[in-house]
Amino acid sequence: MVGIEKGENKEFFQSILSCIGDGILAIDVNEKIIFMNDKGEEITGWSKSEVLGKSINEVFKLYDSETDEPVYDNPSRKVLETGDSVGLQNNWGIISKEGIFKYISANHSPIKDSNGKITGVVIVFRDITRLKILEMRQKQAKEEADRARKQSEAANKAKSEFLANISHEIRTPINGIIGMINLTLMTDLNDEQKENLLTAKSCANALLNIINDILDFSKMEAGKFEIYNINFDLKELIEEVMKTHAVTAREKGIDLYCIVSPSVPQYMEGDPKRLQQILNNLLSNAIKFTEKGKVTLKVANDKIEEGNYILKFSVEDTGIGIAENEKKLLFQNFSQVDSSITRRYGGTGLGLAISKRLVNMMGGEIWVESEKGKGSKFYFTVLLKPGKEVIRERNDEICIFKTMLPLTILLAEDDEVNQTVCTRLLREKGHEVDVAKNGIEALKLYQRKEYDVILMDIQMPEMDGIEATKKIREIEGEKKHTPIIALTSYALKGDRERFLALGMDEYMSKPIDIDVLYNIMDDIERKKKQYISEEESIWIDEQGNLKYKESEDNTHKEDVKSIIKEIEILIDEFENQIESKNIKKLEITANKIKLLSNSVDADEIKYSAFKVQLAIRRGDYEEAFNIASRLRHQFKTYKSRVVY
Amino acid sequence: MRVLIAEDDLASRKFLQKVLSEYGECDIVIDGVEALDAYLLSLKENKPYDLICLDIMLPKVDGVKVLKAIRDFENHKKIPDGKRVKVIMTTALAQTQLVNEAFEIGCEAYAAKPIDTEKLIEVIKKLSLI
Repeated sequence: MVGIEKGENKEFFQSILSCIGDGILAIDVNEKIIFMNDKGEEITGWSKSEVLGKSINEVFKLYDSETDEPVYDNPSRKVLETGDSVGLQNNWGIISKEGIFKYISANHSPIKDSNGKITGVVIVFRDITRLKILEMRQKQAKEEADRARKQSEAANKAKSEFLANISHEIRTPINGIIGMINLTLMTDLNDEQKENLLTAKSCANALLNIINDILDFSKMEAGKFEIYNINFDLKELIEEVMKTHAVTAREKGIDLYCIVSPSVPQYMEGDPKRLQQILNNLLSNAIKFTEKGKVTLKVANDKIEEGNYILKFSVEDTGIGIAENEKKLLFQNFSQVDSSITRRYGGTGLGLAISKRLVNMMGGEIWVESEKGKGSKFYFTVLLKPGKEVIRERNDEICIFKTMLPLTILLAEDDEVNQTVCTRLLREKGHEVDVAKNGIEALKLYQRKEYDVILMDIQMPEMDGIEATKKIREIEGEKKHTPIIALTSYALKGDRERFLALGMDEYMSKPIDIDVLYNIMDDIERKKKQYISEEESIWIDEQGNLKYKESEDNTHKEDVKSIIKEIEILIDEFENQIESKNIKKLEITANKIKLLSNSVDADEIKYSAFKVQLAIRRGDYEEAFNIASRLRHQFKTYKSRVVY
Repeated sequence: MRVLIAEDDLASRKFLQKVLSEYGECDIVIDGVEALDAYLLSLKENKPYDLICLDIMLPKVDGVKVLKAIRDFENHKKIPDGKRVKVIMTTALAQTQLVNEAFEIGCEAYAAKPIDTEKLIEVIKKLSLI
């Protein structure tokens, strides 16, 4: 030991150096190799005798292992020039005597004499080839895994989109079935036929629910599902949910209760449709799995966080219950706890999985407490903002009443069943419907005739609805705007916005819901009425004429001319209708004449037409025909008075 | 008695027509503009209405505005109180504010839907129309 400290025993040092597990090289100031240890021989493949005295750059050419290019910035020269060491580098390689590329890590340090003068460089290096290869393999494996994951994600997305598409394909015929049943239900039926049709309708609706589940689920998977944030009446929502399930519960002989804590606010802001979906799901499950006893829905205010309410809902039943080990399966996709249950109870097994996702999207949790045979308690929480009072929309009646303001409608739809259903529903209401099979036909019809509204299917052969709408808007420019309602069963979130951005006015998903269709048509009727006169203020002047604020006389002579011409045509129609005693058409025409003559101040004609309407509404048809038959004469008098 | 029923909801107007037809001739209009047109037409033809059942939520021009236009016109024409048309406002919801407004302008009564037939007839009797 004493010898080491004194630096005397050269052999001893040699043996230490050769035993070190790293290769060691030393060069002098001229870059000539003056030392290499045993490990160095092993790594480089060169023997000491072969390299001693040779330039390091001749023997060991350094490569950058990442680019495979030679390292120009020679580190040993750098050390000689600067006197500073070059720290550990991992990205080098050398080619051994046998011609094998080896990854090395190395550091270069200066050798200084007792005066601090640089006399050479010592290089400590290590063969890291195995490590590098391992690293590369891992990297490769990770890349492969990434690629595989991306592929499977793409496949999954494709699957979801496929599901959305196939759901559409399935919904279209169901649309036809439900539509036809509805139409048949409007006809005279005996009790048995009615009963059968109602059953058929409820079957079709059940099928539709399943498809909707799948569609929802695939939308969630495809990341195209969104939660709305609107004001709603929670009390009304719960009442409606209870009403929906009351019938089934009563039929099964189960009592259905609902307890809402008084601290729960009536008006909330959130997604009522989705909340209803969760409640419907839990309640229908509870009723489905309960043979006797009761089902109770409880709603309580869990807590308030930063002004938001966390509501806790629970659905408690006295049904078959769920065993501990089955609980975790509950909220998974496509699972019913006991596959033997499936046949007995039916269902897709998607309901709870969808509910769980919905609850999570609404900032809540869903869980269950249950014991086999002792019933279940499903809980869920949702975060809702306090809402404002909901102004109830009128017009929620489902009855089909003939419209008072018939519209001329263009229906562009390629599916024949849908054509029939839609056309008949609208005609049933008293509207006039023309049908186009594709966008090109729609465009042709549009150019030939003025329509109050166009129902435009998005997916059509030859020219689709989007293209057709674009063309129509181009033709219209800024002067005109025919309302266009997009019809599509390909209902993914964001579609509505897309259609509206494309120049459509409303959007309706298929299968066509009669109520929605009628409501939209009513809205358009209402808008049309407003378009005819949109008065903020109205009064009667001294002569007994109606006066409107902002009623400027901007009817041009050209317009007057064409309106008079139109009235003349209508009077021709009118006379035909009197002849054929077509009361329905007669009132429609009278209304048109009234509105047109009002716009050109043809008071006499307007009042006569109006009198025809009033008489028809009174059921006094004779009077109606009498007044109607005098219209031609009044028109002639008026026309002769008007100076073009 | 001549009655004008101004009501946009078909079920409601059919109902009113059925009930009131027993007591007189009923005309039907479905929006505010038609209501005023019918009112003016009745004056022109010298067959004024004795009673107008006016829905508050009429399209185009609401019932309150129709009422105001009629009363203003009557004031302007200096029609004496006894000869003015009697107006019963009808409403589906308890639109207190609109009802109050209507009373300020001058309606005779107000009936909430669904309309109670007996009460309606009672009111019409009180107005000495039947």
